[in-house]
Amino acid sequence: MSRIAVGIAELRTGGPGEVLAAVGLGSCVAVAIRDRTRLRGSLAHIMLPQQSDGLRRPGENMHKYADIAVPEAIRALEYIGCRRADMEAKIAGGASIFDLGRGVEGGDIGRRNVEAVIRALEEQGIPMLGSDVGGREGRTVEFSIDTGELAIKTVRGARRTV
Amino acid sequence: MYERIDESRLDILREICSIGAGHAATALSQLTGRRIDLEVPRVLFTKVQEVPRIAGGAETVVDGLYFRILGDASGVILMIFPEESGREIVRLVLGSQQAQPEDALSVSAMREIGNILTSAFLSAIGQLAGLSLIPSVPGYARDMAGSILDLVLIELSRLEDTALVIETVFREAGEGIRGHFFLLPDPHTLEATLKAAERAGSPRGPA
Repeated sequence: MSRIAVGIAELRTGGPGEVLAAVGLGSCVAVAIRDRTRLRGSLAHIMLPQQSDGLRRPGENMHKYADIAVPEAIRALEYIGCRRADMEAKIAGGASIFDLGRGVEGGDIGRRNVEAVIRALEEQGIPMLGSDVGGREGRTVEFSIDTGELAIKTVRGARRTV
Repeated sequence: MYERIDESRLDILREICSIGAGHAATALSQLTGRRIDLEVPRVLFTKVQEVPRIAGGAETVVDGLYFRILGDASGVILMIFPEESGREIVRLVLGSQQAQPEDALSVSAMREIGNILTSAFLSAIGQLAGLSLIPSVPGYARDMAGSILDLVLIELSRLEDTALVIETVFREAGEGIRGHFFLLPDPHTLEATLKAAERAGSPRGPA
């Protein structure tokens, strides 16, 4: 089984026998999408809900935005032969690591990321089968293309699967 | 934005950060009773994806302290201590082995240490540049370096994929205590800070 690392603001796809992994998610969100019939999947490691000014800058990595990464992930899967009707999604992340308090800029970015991802999946008509979001702890996630399981670990030893 | 910083202004930046970090290192030496040295600050222009690697890998467990800079400039200060160093600093400051990692006493000691170091750093820079710079109340967390850094990366990546990161490493002789101090100035206030430093006649800046 081979493990493919998905860095911050990256989008990767994988096939049978592969595991897509995102390490150290704080307020970022990992969006896992899989075609259950063709055993192909993708993992996006998003940082922000959407681009604030809507302008495309040359060379800017657009996969950091939820509203762009989700449709791009679907397109990437379609490109390798997947069908939208067979796709399903799971998400994890969106924590508030620092107790910054109410009203502090950036304090609720995790929650806003989660909301934006859910909205984007709804717009694209991809059902969300499971999620592990919020809280105060960082997560490392591993998405198995074979089983569709999204495994979550934290530094305090918690292990969950959605 | 960042591209317009030439080599001589980078020197000024390095110089003022070096002085600020020197004050912070002295404060840490006094708090712990150990001799803490300081590496020359590195000014890095780096892809945001690379920042967790600078801090020792996204999955390394660290103590993180997060401050916003308030007053005449804005930006973020992030201090990261590998977990053994964080524990050692707390032990030296509290003068006992009683405190457990992450109990209320240790966490409050960590926050206070962060406050003292950041205040020492900002007041030294503020005096040089003629600016009033105040740290916010610290946010504290012990978690994976990646999780701790992503809030900062998020703020930076709103506008750019490249972050200006000024990094200083604190180190005790014999590899006891070590820590990373990151200053991430907001792009538009960096300019104002440099101008003020030049006007105030920083050591190597134009008069």
